[in-house]
Formats: sequence, C-alpha cells, structure tokens
Amino acid sequence: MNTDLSRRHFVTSLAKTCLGVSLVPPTSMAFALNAPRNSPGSKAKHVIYLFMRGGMSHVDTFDTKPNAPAGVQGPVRTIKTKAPDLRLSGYFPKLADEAKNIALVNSLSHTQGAHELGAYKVLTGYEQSPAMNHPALGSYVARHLPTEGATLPPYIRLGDLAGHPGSGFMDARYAPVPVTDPNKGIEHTKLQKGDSASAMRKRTSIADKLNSDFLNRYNMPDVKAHADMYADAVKLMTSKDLDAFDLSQEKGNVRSDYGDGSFGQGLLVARRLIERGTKFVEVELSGWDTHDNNFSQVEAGAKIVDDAVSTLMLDLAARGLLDSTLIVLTTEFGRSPNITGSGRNHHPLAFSAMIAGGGVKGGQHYGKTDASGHRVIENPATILDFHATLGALMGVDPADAFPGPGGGQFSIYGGTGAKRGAVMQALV
Amino acid sequence: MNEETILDQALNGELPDDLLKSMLSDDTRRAEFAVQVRTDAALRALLEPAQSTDALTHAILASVKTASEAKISERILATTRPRKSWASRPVRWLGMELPRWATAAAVLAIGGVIGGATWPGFVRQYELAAVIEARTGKPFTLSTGLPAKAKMAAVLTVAQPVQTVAHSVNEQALPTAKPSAPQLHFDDLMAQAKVSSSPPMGQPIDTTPAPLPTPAAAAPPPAQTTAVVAAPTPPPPMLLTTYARPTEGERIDFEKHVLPILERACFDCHSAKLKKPKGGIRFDDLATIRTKSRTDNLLFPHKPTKSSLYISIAKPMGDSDIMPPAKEGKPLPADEIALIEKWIEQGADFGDWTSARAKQVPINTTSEVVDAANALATAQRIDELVGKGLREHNQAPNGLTDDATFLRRISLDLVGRIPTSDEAQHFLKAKEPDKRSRLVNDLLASNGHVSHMFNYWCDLLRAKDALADDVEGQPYLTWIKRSVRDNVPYDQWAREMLSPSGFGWKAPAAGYYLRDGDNRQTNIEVTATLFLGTQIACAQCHDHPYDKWTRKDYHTFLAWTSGIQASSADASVGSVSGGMIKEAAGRYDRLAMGVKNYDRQAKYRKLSDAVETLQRAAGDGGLVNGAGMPAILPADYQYDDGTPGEALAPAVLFGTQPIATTNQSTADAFAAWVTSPSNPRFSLTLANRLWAKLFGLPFAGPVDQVQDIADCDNPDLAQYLVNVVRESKYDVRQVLRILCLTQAYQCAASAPPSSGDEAYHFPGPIVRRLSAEQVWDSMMALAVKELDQNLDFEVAGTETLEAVTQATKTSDVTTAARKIIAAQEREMKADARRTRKFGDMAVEFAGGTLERASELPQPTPNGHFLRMFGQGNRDFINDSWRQATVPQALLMLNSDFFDYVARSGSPLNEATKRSSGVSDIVRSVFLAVLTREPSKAEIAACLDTLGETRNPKALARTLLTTAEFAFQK
Repeated sequence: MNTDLSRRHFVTSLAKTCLGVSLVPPTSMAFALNAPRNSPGSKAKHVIYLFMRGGMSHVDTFDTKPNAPAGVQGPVRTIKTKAPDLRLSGYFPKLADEAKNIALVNSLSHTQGAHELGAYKVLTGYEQSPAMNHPALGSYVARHLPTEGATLPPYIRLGDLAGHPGSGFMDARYAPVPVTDPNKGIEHTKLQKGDSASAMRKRTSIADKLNSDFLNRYNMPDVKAHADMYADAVKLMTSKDLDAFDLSQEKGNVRSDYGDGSFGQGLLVARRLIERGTKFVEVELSGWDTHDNNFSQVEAGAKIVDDAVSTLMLDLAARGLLDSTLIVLTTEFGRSPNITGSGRNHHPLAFSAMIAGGGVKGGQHYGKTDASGHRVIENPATILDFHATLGALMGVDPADAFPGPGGGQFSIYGGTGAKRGAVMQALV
Repeated sequence: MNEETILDQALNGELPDDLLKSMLSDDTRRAEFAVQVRTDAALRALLEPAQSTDALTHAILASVKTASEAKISERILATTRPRKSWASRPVRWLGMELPRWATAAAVLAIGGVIGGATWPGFVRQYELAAVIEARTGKPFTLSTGLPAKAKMAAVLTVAQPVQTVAHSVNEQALPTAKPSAPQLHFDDLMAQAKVSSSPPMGQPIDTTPAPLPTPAAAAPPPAQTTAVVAAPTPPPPMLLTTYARPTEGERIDFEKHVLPILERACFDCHSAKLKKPKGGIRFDDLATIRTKSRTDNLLFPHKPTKSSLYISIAKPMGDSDIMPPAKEGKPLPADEIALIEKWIEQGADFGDWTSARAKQVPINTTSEVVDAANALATAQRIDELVGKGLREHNQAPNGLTDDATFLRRISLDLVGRIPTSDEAQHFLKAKEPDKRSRLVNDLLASNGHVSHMFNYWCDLLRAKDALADDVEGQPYLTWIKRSVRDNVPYDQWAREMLSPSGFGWKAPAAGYYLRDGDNRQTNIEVTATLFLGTQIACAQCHDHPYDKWTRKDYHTFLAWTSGIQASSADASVGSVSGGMIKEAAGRYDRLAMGVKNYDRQAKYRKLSDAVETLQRAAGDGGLVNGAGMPAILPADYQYDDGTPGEALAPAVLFGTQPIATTNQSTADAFAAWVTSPSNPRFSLTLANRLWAKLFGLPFAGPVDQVQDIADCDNPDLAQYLVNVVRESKYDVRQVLRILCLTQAYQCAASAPPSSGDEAYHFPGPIVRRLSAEQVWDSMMALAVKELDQNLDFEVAGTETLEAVTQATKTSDVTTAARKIIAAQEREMKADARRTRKFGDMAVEFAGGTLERASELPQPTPNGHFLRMFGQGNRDFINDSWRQATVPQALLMLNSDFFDYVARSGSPLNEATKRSSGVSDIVRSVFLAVLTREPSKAEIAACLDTLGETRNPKALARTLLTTAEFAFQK
C-alpha cells in the first residue's frame, strides 16, 4: 500500500469512515464580546459609591425571604414599595418610596470569604493576586469619563485607604484621594500665613529636581506616584471648588435630613462634590460584620442607609441630577441565611447590591436566590458583570481600553481575555 | 482497481464515496480496512511519538470523544468479553469488526498516544495482557509509576522474547482472516521505540503487507534473539510502564494519579521551566496553583464544573479554548478527564505534595550547625548562601553601600526613624573598622528599637486601646512593649499569649484573646496566619478552596482554644459580689433618668459605665484557661466524613498531635505544639517576617502564607535561616543582629521586581516607602531632643485597680469609679485646652503631643498625621498602607505642623544654627533630613533658588517633601 499517506487525508478518512465524526472544527465559534447592545443613550456622568464594610446581610436588606424555612429570616419584615415589582426589607421605609428609581441585583456571588479579599474582589472585580494590583472601580471611572473643567480630583474617597486597592496598576492620578473627615474636607489647601506662591514655586523646583534624580535611579511606580501627588496637590490649591466641603453653606434641614453621622454627612459632601465635577465619590459605612447581634446591628445600619440614601435621591432629583448620577451600594459579601448564635457568618455565595438613579431601569430585582437566600438560582452575575453594567449606564465605549501590566487591555468591562463582564441588559 | 489500491485510496481518503460504501458493505473487506487503519494508526503513533502525530491523535481522540467513557468501555467489553475461544472471533468495536488482538493494539495505541489513561485500565479490566502476550509471545506486565515527562517511547521497555508452547497454540488460534494485513508486532514497535528512532518526516514507513510474523520470526535486535523454548528461568517480564490508576474505591492520590497526567499534558506550557508560563499558570508548584485557584478558580475543591482546569480539559473537541490547545498537544482522553473530575470532587487533595521541584531539590543545610551566638560567622554563612543563589541566576551582589546610606537604612529598620544630625556626624566621622557592627549593637540595645518593634508587633497583633467589648487594652499594649524591651524569647512570648492564665490586668497576655472577645474564629485564623504562616479562614464554612485545610480541620483546630473562657460578666470585685456591683450600676442609671440637667445625666451614665468597667477590669474578669471541649461540627456540615453536631477531639493541622499532660490545659498543649522547635512553620514564619522586615521582600513567599522550604527560591538559604531562628532560641534581637551584619543587607538597594511573579534573589535590600510610623518618628526626631528616652512602660491607673481588688463594700467600688471619672474629666479638659491652643493641629498630632508613635493612642484617631500616612486600623493583620496621597502632600506643604517641628530648640533648628555660611546651611539641612552630603550641583541649585534668604527651615521643609525622604534605599 501507499505508505506516504497524506496525514490529513488519512485522519479525515479515518475519522469519517471509522468513527463517524467530522474533524472539521465547529465553524466560527462565536465568542462575541459582551459589549452592551445599546451603549449610547446613557446619561450617568457621576457615581456615588457606597461601600458597606463588613459584609451586609442580604437576606435582611435587599433580598428578604418572607417564605424562607424557619431559622432564616428572624424578625425582619418584607414591605411593598412604590414599585410593584420591588420588595424591600422593613428596615427601608424611606427607600421604599423611591423604589421606582432603584434596581437591586440579587444574584451576585464570588468565592472570597475573608473581608480583605472580598472587599478587593468587589472593589476591583478581580481576586487579589501577587501578580497584579488591580485598580478600584472608581479609578476606571476616573479614567474613562472626561473631566474637562474639573478642578477637584476625579475620585474622592471619604475615609482612609485602609483595606483599599487604590488605583492598582493605573497611574496615581486615578487613585482615590482620601478625605478622613467629611466635615473638614481636604485640608491644608491654603498657603500658610507668610508663605507665598512664588516661594512655594522655588521650593517645589528643588524638590522636583531631587525627585527626578531619585526616579532616575529607582524607576518605580511608587516613586513616580510620590512626585505626582505633590504636583496634584499644588494644582488643587488653586481649585475654586474647595467649598464643596463647606457644609455650612447648606440651608434649612438639609444637613440633619442626611443624618448626623459621618455617612450621612459624607453623602451630602458627595452631592456637593459631583456638582463640582468629581466623577466618583466613595463613602463607606462600617458595622456590617454581624457575627453577633445581627438583627439589632443590621437595623441600626439600615436606618442610617435609609435616611441618607433616600435623602440623597430626593436631593439629587430636586436638582435635576438624579438621572446623571449613579448611586451604587455594595458590600464585600452577604451573610449566611442560617443564623449562628445571634449572628450570621460570611456568605460570598450569594449577595445583593443596589443601583439607583443614573438612568438605571428601576423598580426591579435582577437575578434571584433560592428560598433561603443561600444560592443564586437565576441570572447569576459576577462583579465584572456588575461593573460592566455600570459602564454601560455611563455609556463607556467598550473599545475604550488601556494597557495593564503584561500586555493585557483593561476597562470597566474587564480585560480583553476571558475575564470580561457582561452587561445586565435588563437594567440599562 | 485491485484490492491493494482500493485500500490505499481509502486510507488516503481518495476513494470515491460509492466505492468506499461498497467496500464497507463487505464484511471481510471492511474488517481488513479496519485492521489497516488501526494498525497504521498504532504504528504511526508508536514510531513518531514526538512529531506530527497531532492529526493522528485527533483521529484517535475523536474515537474516544465521540462516545462517553462508559460507552467505550461497553464496546470494548463487547469486543473482548472472554469467550470460550477468546481469540477466535472478530467482534465489533466502535462500529467495526475487529479481532480481539487488534482491539488490544488500538487500546495500546490510544494509550501510547494520548497518554495512557484509557489503556492500562482497559488492559487490566479486559485481560488484554493475555492477548498481547499471545501476539508478541512475551510475558506482559503493567507496571506503575511514571517518570516525569515520560513520552510514549520511553515507557516501553523490551524484554527478551520468549516463546512458549502455550503461546504458539494461541498463535495458531488467532484469526487468520487476512494474512496480507500488516499486523502489529510489538517486538518491532518496541525495539524501534526504544532507540527512539523517530523517522524523519516524510520518510516512508515500511508497512508493506508482510507474511504473518510469528514471534520467533520477529526481528528484534540481534542480541535479543535468543528464542528459547521453555526457558529454564522465568523471563524478565515485559515492562510496560504506565500511569497509575486508582483501583476501585481507592481515593485518588494527586502524586500517583493526577500529577503524571499534568506533567505529560500541561507542563510544556505551564511549568516553571518556562520563563513566562502561559496565563501565569504553573502546575509544578502548589503555591502557584493555590494562587491561581483563588484568582481564577483553577481548582475549586468538590466542584469540578467550577474549576477552570476541569472546564478547560473537558471542552468539546474543536473548542478554541480546549486544553491542551489543539496546536500544542493532544487533548486528554475521557478517562483522564473523568479521573481529574473525580479527584476534584473528592476535594482536590494534594496530600503532602508541594511542588515538582521540591522532590528534586536537595536541601543541603538541613542539619547544618548554627552557632547563633557568633553573629558575624552566621552572617557570613548567610552571605555564602545568598551568593550561591545569585550565581545560579548569573547575578552578583549590588556592592556595599556608603556609610551614610547604611546609617539611614539601619536607623529606619532598627529604631524606626532617621538618624539625628548628631548621630550622623558621630557615625560618619568614626574610623573603627567595625563601626557598622557597633552601630547595630547600639541600635538594638536602644529604647528607639523597643518603640519601633512595639509598632511592628502591634500591627501584626492588631493590638489597640480598646479590645473587644470595650475591654481596656492598656495592660496588653504595655505588656507587649515590656516584652520587646526585655527581649522575651519569641516562642515563650507566643506561649504566653496562646495560653494565658490569670485575671484582669494582672494577666495582660490575655489581651491576645480578649482582642477578639467571643469571636474565637477570627482569633484562631489570626493564630494560624501569625504563627504558622497559613490562612485557614475559608475553611470555616467549607473546605478551603485554595489550600489543603478542610472544614473539619478548621473546627478541630479551633477546638484547641475552647478551654479559654471569658469569666462571667457578673464577677465579683474584692469581696463585693457581682450582684451588688450590678445594683450600684443600675442605681446610677436610674439617677441619670431621674434628672433633667444634661451634665448631671451624663455624669451618672459615666459612673454607671465606670462601675461596669471596673468590674471587668478588676473583678474576676479575664480568662479561665481550662480543659478544652471537643469540636462540634456545625449544623450545616456538608461533607460525607462527618455529621452535623458530631463531636471531634481537637486536632492540629499537621505534625504530631499534642496530648495535654495532667498539669497542662488544652491551650497549654496547643501553645507548646505551635511553638515547638520541631514545628518548621513556626520558625520559618518568623524567619520570613524578620527577613522581609529588613530586606523589604520575604524569601519564603508571602509572610501570611509561607511556602515549604523546598519550594523557596533558595531552599538552602531558607533552611539555614530556619536553623538560625531555632538555634538562636527565638531571640528576635539576635536574629535581627545576624541579618543586619550580612553583606547582603549592607549592599546597595534595588528597585523591587516590577511583577510580583518575578523572583528576587537579594543582591541587596529593596527600595521602599516609609511606614506612617517611620515618617512620623523621623519628624519627631527633628522636633524633640532625646526623643527615645520618653517611653512609658507603666499602665496608668494600676494603683486604682489594685486598691479596688481589696474592696469590701460597694462604696469602695463606686469611690474608685468616681476617681476614674475625675481623671477622665481632667484629661478631657487638657485636650480642650490643647485644641484651643493648636487649633486644627490638635488632631493632626494628637493634641500637640510630640512623642513617638508608640506613645500615642493605638491607633491614633482618624485625621491624625499617622492615619493620613497609612497607620492601620488594627482590624486586620498589618492593615497599614503606604500609598502617596494628595492630602499627605498638602499637609507637608501647607500645615503649621512643620513650624512646630522646626521650632526653636528643636534638634533641626539647633543643627542648622551651628552652621555658618549658606553652603554650610544647605549641608546641615541635607544631613539632618536626608542623612547625606549634598552634591555641588545640589548646593548650587539650592543657593540659586533659595537665594540669600538663608532660610534653613524652608529648605528642610522642601527636603521633607521629596521622594528621597519618603523612601528608604
């Protein structure tokens, strides 16, 4: 027989005749991009991002389970809202009135059960890894959205940077500027008494020279960030918008309506900041790690959220800013539906987040968990899906990506590779 | 067309369809064709293992993939079911009639090409060995255990052919349907395979129909042609090394069953031998597998369908994401996929395996004697080992730093601040050849070292002023500081914390548990991370997805601390009963409700609180350290190896199970196990942390998740450092001394590798940003004379507490409470005064106190300078941060704080006052802030820019804003 077989023919014939299969690869496997189908037309220009530190119990807040088996729901009631399809925890009577502008995502999950790792995952969309520092969502927004004319930093975080990923591999320009006390705002923005702009310029020119020498010797992102921060600081000193932090300018009961604590006051500052061009303001509320006394702690936290967020929504609506401002509320993970002692443990398997305003299709739940809130059973969503949805609501062009370390391209929609978020179309 | 041509064309795929159909409709011709196809496939697979068998592989793979494994088994079973005359009848296999021996050949071919998952099992299951023996005339055995990277060719070993009568009989019984068909002759195949003669591409393979070869007529290498009938000694069995498969019911063993598959199919792209493994995935190293499991769900125990490893290998043929990719290698056969699936289902247990490398790496320093007391000799030995590691990577040390850089570095590392001008001048002028080692000794013996290491340990221990449930943290904090001062051996110190005994403030080590109150889970997780360098938190609710710990491991480990119980909240104080104290507190509460005056109301409330605080602090409050209880598996325990509510004895995660002796509590036994010199992770974790503290990067993987020694970049060094820690008897100060004396530490610094994946071989330490405490304490060194002398080692209010333990009546307690309130009020008034005086700076520097960070509130309140520069919340292990921020820059540029630092009388001010002439001023400021001489160009630039203002303060302030100040090199 002919021994010089053409390998391909040999194989094809073998497969076809003997094995009854075709070796032709499936034609054009469509790995379509998860790009939003209708990206333009979105109108969100700002994000006020509320992070519930500690792990907010989903079954007591945004994913209540009135029909759950005994031992899950405790004393929490489920109430109707102004939107027929949206139910909320009885802890949110005021948000219930704004439900038409609120969408809840009930089908988030990830695999990170520790606080630091869960927070990193939710804030960045990625798992923490020694190989790469990922930027927080706010850094993507600061990078994607134009900031023409703004004199304030694009990304301000009311709180410090403990347990925060910052701008990751991105330039420090997109890093959150931490403001530890919302009432004081960004401090030291004025020249010291007796100092002058020209004297400062002279001083900074010496520092610049030393910094560039140091950077030449040690070309490290951290070193570059150091010099950049000083440049940004000097620029910020001339901002006309620093009165954003001057809450005494607010009239009437506005301040107390938001709530006296730093969270409520932070939301008021956030509103003032976005009015002055800041793209992304992050406000954190802690106290959600309810291993003990879950119900009393959740009730207390929920009241703060209910007062502050409902006031913010009304305030923004009155100023015509609600449609252009996304209010996003997340947490590092949910809490176990089974009550242990008086509390609930960490539960990354299923948890909820809220998107309000910003043109989101409100009045609805996206995704579903089982009868006790243990697992996602419908429309599962990843954090990157969530971020991609926010990107779509902001009208971010899916093609607007920028290089990360190792040659990958990154955007709010995720990376160029397998890790790319899919927009939750029902919400946009 | 003759039969030959038809066959050729059919094999070439050139036969017209109608002719093909007609050929296949004829049973005999189809059988012949099938034999041809199979034989040819097997031949090619065996002869060209390394090259161009991809297409063939696809073909054979397709046969595997078109049917489920069960179906293939079923078919093979059907073809090979032992019959009376087992070899006599052609049977159907995959729709074709094949003689049983041909089936065996096909199975072998599949095994050889695709990696053998299918075939050894089938060979065993269907007794094909006998068939092969019959065909080859050789005893045939399957052996297990595959050499790494074994290729098909290497696993086939030829034995001497031996013909036996019995075989001859069988031979004759073989079907002789088509004498013209070339038959698979294993002697030939294997002989050729053994000399690994992969014929060059395109070279014709002679498979011309030959007479039916008999074993005797086979053409093995001449030396082996000693065909003997009825050999006097049993012939060595034909050794056909295969991949091990678990027997029925056997738990899948990673090293034995799974690793060989990975080595064969994945290592070409996913191992450390590649500089850049594809996707950053390396299967030859457990630590990386764990990391990738966390970041990319590479493995998700119990959940194959969530594990990207399984998802990738189980994709349908032709899927562009299938692993191994079509162009790189041969996809896995179904039974290997099933095996990996089952292994993941069983929990993806790696057993003791940590890396492919670990098996190969000899560790030469395991029993190397360390004379830890001889710091210099020990340091030199470390340098040899570091140097060896560098040479292996064609690198060399960076070269020694100059004295000024060394002084600044070691001051920051050992006393947590820059050197003062005086210290700098003194050291730079000194001429002694051993002045560096003298400096190391001086710094280690200083108060500044205590202050700095106190910060270091507080960060790790999450120690703070208010422990859980508002328990006063002062006694614990002060105890930490005293332990550092007294250089208590680290193992003893850890034992005191892990098994504290005593009550209230008299047992300050109890703060380790009181820090977390009833949250014993968090506490045990911290214990594992801090002392054993492993993270177990995930296993609280389910088997750890990225580590070997199971949920059961977690709860049996947690049980070690179950003997630690908080004493009851209604403890008595002195001889005053808990009930009476409660009543007193209640009385104040009622008084508070009864008055309208706000101040009086507040005062009563505070008194009530103070009484309760006293009860906690001075009463029998604290911890009882008794017998432990069994672990109760949680109500939602989900695995087969236990039932919810089941009681299990405490068990350690690895090593020998400790047993509490009669005079030991359960926690004692636990503490002894954790801190035992024979617990390698305890020593390794400490060595790794201290090394990372001085060099800026760890040598054994992340400090919270250490690698096994064999997996370290430099195992000899890692092992030696463990020996150093152990032989120094956990003398932390001595270990630091040894490390500081190494040339490696004293070399010039490097920028860190740009990617965390890149190994660093320590040609010198790493350039890094100062911690918040280092920045603050350095500013303080400029501001305050004799800064380090002001360390407080006493617990405030001890006398009050001591007195109250002697209480005999309720009023003794309430009087003490009033005293406490009065003291509090005095402090608040003082705060208010400071606030008025300093305005905004009150928060920025803790109400105007210029002291080292160790003397300030732990942690300082929000808004404090330290918090703005990244001091942690002390909520998580080392949750401090080091990023540059705009508010930091603004503070350094514009705050009045600096004026206060540089006020008259401050060391900074004194240092510049002594200078005469502008250049001298520049020099003195550079020395004070940056610990170095300015270059001529720098002096010129400063003079030019600052002009004749002779403003040393302005220059100092400027230098404080530079990266050179904010970083350590």
